[in-house]
Amino acid sequence: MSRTTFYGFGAFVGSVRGLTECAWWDDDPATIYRYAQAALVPVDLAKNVSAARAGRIGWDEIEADDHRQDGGRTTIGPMFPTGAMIGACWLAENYWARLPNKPPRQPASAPNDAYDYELTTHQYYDNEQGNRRFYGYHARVKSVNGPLSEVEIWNAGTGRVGQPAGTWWIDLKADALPVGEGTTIDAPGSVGALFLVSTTASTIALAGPKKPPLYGDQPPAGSR
Amino acid sequence: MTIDVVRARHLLALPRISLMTSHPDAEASRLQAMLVDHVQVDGRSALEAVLGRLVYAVGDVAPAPKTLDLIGHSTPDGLLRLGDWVIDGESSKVTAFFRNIADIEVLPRIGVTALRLLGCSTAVGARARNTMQIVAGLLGLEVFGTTSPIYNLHYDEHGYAHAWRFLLAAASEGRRPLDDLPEPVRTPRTLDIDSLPLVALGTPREGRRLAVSLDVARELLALVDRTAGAQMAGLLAIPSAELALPAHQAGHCHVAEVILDGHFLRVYPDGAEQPGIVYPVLAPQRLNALLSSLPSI
Repeated sequence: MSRTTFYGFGAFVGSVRGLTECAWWDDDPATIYRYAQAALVPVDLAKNVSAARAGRIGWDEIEADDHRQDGGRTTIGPMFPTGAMIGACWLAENYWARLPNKPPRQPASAPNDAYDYELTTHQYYDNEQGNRRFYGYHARVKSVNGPLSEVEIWNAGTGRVGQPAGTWWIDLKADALPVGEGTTIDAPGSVGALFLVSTTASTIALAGPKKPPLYGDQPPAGSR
Repeated sequence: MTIDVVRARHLLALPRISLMTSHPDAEASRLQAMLVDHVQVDGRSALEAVLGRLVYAVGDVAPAPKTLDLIGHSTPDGLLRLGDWVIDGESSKVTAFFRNIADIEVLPRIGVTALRLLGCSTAVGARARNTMQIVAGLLGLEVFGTTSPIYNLHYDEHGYAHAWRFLLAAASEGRRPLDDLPEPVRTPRTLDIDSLPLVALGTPREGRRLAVSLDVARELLALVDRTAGAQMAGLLAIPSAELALPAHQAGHCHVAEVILDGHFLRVYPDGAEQPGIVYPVLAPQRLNALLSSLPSI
């Protein structure tokens, strides 16, 4: 499958090692990590989707998603100094898996707010799925009529604790990943993961996830 | 610094014109040495002179679209200083200057599409943002400032480097509260025909419009789940027909669109500029059969 999966984390930059290289804590360094240097997560923000598209690195070498200004969801940096020191960093799944000290999928300060799939993005390439990107949401199918499904969707990061952001009629075949590729819902009454194409998520102005929670976050790129 | 016609024409072909303070400190000197095509200005008069030269050099060839980058230090409250001139939106001399160059369309004539105030934190603080908005309003152009300190790291030989554009903020950007979330979508929406906007029957439309009598309207609406209204996400569906539903005001109707082969009706209860609300049709085949008997208007 030609896709790169990203996991979203809050990021408090604690060390800058180069123009695009830094290391961060995924949660409050003062109260959670006590500024432990061993807990810092290293990343080179230049090893991103844009670099892979341009052929500068392989898709398996990606470490982080693009910065928001380039259509990604990372908001720290993208360069230092003067880049943002607090924000979100979306790590490539393969890179995250290789880290000796993996940051937890849900932060220690808010472990029960969201499902893991709400903090997940799939970016396709090599013309698979139209090279589109899909954002994970918690959702429930209320009914199905013809080509559209009536779907209740929660803002990302609030699936376990919040109320639905609203209900929309959605063509799941056109605008979401199929069951088996991330989405787990299709039949009326089913509740779980919905991976919505980024353009549609922007159109209906779904928010978040707020990473870190103390910071604001806007709806996905393109909605403003 | 004066510029001749040849230099002015060279500058007009560039994607940005860098006008830089003549302030002779170490940081400004480093930047002056780095920027190949910058022009030094020591104040308002010099800026006016350079702009005049550029307008004079325009000639018959349309200049390239560009940004006008004013580069200098800023005051503690984020106001850009060019030589001895502080660009302060609360100063009548400053507003008069920008009003004058706007009146004779200096910047559009030399291809400027945006003004960038490139000093430290020129988009931070009330006075700085107020100045950006005042200048943008006077010029009728977008004005950008910076959200952090900047220095020669952020430039290359051609001017302010594109890679650092994330440090720029536009005057037109509204402030958002940090925890701002979109308004929840009011849902479900119950279909109430009488609450839909009135549309004059003579209003031009693109597709076919079908006249619906009161009796047919009742029959038709019985086929619709009127409690399951919600916005439709994704691509807009093109209506196959527009229904002119009866209204109590003569010469007017309420409009509903038939979409997705009769599986849904779409209405615009909040006006045509707001998202439509779609309602599922419980029996699309019966709806389509009903529509085939309706006269076009």
